[in-house]
Amino acid sequence: MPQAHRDKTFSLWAKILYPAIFIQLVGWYLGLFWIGADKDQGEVFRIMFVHVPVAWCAFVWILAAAVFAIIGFVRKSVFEQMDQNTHAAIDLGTVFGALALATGSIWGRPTWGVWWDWDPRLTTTLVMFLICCAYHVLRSFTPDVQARRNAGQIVAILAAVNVPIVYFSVNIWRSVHQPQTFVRKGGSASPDIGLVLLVNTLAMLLLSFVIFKIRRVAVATEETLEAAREGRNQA
Amino acid sequence: MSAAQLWRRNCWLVFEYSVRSVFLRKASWAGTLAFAACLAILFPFAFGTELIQKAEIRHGAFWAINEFVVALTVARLFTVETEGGILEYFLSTQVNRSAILFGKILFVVLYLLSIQLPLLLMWIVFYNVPGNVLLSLGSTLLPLLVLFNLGTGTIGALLACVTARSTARDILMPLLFYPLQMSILLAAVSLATMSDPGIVMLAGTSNESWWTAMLGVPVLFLAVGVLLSNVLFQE
Amino acid sequence: MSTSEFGNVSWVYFVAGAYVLVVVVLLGLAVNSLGRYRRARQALNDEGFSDDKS
Repeated sequence: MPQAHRDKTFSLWAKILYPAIFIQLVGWYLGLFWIGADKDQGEVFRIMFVHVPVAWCAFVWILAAAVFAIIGFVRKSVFEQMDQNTHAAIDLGTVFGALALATGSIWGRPTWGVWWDWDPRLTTTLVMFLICCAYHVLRSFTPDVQARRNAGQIVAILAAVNVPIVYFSVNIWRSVHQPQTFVRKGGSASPDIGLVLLVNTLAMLLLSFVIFKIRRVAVATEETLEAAREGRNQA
Repeated sequence: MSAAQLWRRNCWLVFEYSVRSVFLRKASWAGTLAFAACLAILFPFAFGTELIQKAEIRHGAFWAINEFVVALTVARLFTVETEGGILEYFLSTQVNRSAILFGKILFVVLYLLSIQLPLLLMWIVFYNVPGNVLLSLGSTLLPLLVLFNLGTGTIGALLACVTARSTARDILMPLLFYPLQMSILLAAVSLATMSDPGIVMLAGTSNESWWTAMLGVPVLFLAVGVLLSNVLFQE
Repeated sequence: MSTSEFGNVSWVYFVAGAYVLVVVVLLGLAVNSLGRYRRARQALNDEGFSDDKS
């Protein structure tokens, strides 16, 4: 991607960031003030309007990273661009994964009575988060650029492939070892809650997409700088 | 020679070379066994001799020790070939990359089994495993060990290739390895525990789910490895 | 369990904690992403690797 095109892309998405933030704030307003309390969980259920969207974003960006990696291997002509996409997507997957764990834990304390319950979804998120951290460590410790790209893409695919396996395994494991500590089983969510949740999820996905585009351009520019410095040192 | 015959020959070549290198020198095998023995006494020291005789802890300890042994094994998977220049020779020839992968995985299965059998004896002695437990474990244990080794060997071989050109492999390998093969550990511990007549499970769970996981994981990661073998083994 | 008091900690702290955390982290992520681009772009200019001025 030529630098002029990167500059334009960056300017565009930096501008779109503000309306995306505004839409998210509207979603949070709806979740915090517009909708009434849940009949089972009371006011604490409002954490759902941040926890569920960030959890969705985490999984969406990990899956996207794997898709970019596969495209990069299938179409060699776009391998470098797909690697940059994967890198930015895993960055987002890592941050959203950490947020999902933290907010899930904060939500779990009042509802389950414990900070951590080995819930299959949270445990799967934890494992996925660890693999994302490993991705970053791998990139840092692989000096050769081509080897770094190959290794990173493969780990991104493995991370996505591992998600359903871990979920399946932990689900069975939990059912045998420990009864669900969350005893307050509410009825199905009212349409209002469903609607507000959908608004917040879409808003978070939009915001994450805008940040992804900005981060992607940043990664590409940093790699251009690194390559230019490398070229100068070798000359 | 047909392509299939050539593939089998190359696979056997890699397997045979790995077996000869390790078992001729014996120091590596003996060192790994000594390491396993150290771990076998680590758990009684950590948890106390009374707790370690509880059925649930006993089985978990055996498989946890296996985890560390596998991590050590896969970290050194290509060391002999790299030091001897054999890997570069393989890669510069027309040897099918998937044959190298399969050969290495077969080696890991056999190598781990050669460590696990003496480890099993140590486990029976140190953890006072009763005779009736051994009898009920009997028919399950060997297929369980083979599938465990196959699953962990497949993932380990993949990761050994991924981290081949990275520095700080001693951090990277466990960091990548443990999250990816967590499901196999869960399945192995669960199947072993469920075979123990001294343990009453909370809910009735059939063994089928766990055997599905034990079989499914190596198949899945093997498929990924075969598809990516040309990328994994680049000169 | 009362939904308004959890071990004498009001639900407000849990909800506020979750939202504040998400706001801070996302803000940090956005600022970091913007900053990384700007720093790399500036370095490209300063080290003479780019003819563009931005």
